Amino acid sequence: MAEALDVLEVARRDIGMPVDELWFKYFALGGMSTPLEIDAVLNGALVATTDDRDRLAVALNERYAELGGDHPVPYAGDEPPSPE
Amino acid sequence: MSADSDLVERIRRCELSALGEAYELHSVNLHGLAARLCGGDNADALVRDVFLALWREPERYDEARGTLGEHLTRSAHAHARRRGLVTDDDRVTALAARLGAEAWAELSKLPTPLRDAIALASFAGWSYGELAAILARLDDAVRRDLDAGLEHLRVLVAGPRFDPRRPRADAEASAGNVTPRDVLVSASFGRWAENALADDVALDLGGATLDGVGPAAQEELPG
Repeated sequence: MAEALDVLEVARRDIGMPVDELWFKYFALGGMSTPLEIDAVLNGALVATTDDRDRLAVALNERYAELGGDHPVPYAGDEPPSPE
Repeated sequence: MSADSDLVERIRRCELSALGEAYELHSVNLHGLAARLCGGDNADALVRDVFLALWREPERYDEARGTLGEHLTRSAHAHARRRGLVTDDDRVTALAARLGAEAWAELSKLPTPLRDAIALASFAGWSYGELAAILARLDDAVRRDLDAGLEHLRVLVAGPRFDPRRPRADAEASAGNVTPRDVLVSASFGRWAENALADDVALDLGGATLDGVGPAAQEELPG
C-alpha cells in the first residue's frame, strides 16, 4: 500500500512549486538543510525539525497567498482540526 | 570552462538548482569556517549571507582568482567583517588563546606580514590558495611568508639552525643554549602549526620545533 504523502509535499504539488524553489525560499527563511535533505523530507525519508517544517510551511503558504488563496499548510503550533 | 565556472554560469542564468548544487558542495566546509570565524550562533547567518550573495551577484566570481570554494571563503570573510561579526581584535584574541601566552609572545615578535600570514592560517586553517585569495596576493608569496614566518619563529625559540660548516663546539654551545622553556614554546608552536596547516598545506617545518634538542628532551614533552 502506498504511503500517504506528507502534507508539505501535497501542498507543493498542489501549487506546482519545484523543490529547488521551495528549498530556496526555505533557505532564505533561515533553514540550513540542503536541497537533497528537503527532498528527502518531502518524500518521507527524513524527518524535519519543527522549525524546518514551519519554514517550509511558510514558504508554501506564501505561494498560496500569491495565488490568491488562504494559508492551508498547518504550522507546528496549529490545533488539529476538530471532528465535526 | 571549469566545473565551477559552469555552475556559476547556471546561477547567473537564475537556475536555482545550480545554487542548490553549490550549497550541497560547499555549505559544510563554509559552515565550519563560519563557526570558526564568528562562533556557532552567527555561523548560519553568515553562510546564508554568502550563498544569497552568490545568487544575487554571481558575476563577482572570477575563475582567474581561484576556485568557487576559495571565492566563497573570501566572501565569508568579507561578510563577517561587514556584519561586525569578526574583527582583528577577535582574531588576535582567538589566536592568542589557541597558542598560549608564551607561543603568542614569540609570534608577536614577528614582522607584521609574516605574523599575519601565520595568524590567518592558524585562525581558520586556510590553505595557501585560500590565504592568497583573502590577502589578495599570489600563492607563492603567501607560501614564502608562511615559511619565512615559521623559520623566524624557530630562530626566536631555538636559535640558528645547526650549520655543519661551523666548529662543532659552537654548534654544541648553541644547542646547549636552548632552555626548557624554549623547548616547550617550540613544541607547542610546532604542534599548533602542524595541526593548523597539515590538511591543506604541505608545509616544511624543517625540523623547526625541536632543532638542537636531544631525544630525551623530546620524550619529556607533553602531548
